Amino acid sequence: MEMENPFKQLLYNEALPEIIKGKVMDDVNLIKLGIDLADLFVIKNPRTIKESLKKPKK
Amino acid sequence: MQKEVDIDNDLEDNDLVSRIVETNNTELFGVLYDRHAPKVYNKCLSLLKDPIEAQDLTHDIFVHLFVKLRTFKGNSKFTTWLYSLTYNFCINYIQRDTEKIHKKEEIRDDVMEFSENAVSDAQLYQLRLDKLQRAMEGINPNDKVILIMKYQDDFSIKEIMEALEMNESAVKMRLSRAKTKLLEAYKNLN
Repeated sequence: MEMENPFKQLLYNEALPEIIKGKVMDDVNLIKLGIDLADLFVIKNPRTIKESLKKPKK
Repeated sequence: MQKEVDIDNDLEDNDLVSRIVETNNTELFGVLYDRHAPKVYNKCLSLLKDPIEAQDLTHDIFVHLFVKLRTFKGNSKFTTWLYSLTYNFCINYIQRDTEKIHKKEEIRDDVMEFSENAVSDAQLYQLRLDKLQRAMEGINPNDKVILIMKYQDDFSIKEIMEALEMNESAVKMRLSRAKTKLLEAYKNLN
């Protein structure tokens, strides 16, 4: 007869409060906004940065 | 702006991850969260004991996961990769103030005489559940994590090597030592 592995019965089964998902999604949305802005200015439109860094002509 | 994507709850984990990486869609990431956050939380809880700390760490793990997701290459099961990330987060958190102690242990690894299978699986499987639980609480978190990976999550030696970034002999030595420590802790219980 195969022996039962007692480690499998040590698992916890507590509920994770729903509020944690809200906090995670808020932070993830903020990170996504940062990625989108970087994407917009640096990758899709690098000239915007280039132009903005140019010294104004006297 | 968020691209419109169909939220398909039946997608396999690896396909879901690929779509999140392609689209950066946070609603899809929410699906991944719903699937795995309870398990990640309970793993944190088994190592930290404090529910508030375990909830904070679960939050940090999933925020980090969103950024880190594109490094998942699909070479292993997604859960194996996620649980490795979880255990490493927990270990770093627990040991944030005990770096020196950790370094001392690393040195001991090199000089410790290694005898594979010093404690057999059969010996471990004979342990009584209530005493095993108490013994697990009494051992070092590094030892605890490697035992959980091997005996609870069924990680292979190769998967443990990848998770802990150790070579094969170091993993086997650490595992052997963890089993010995567990058995010692078990025997010392009243």
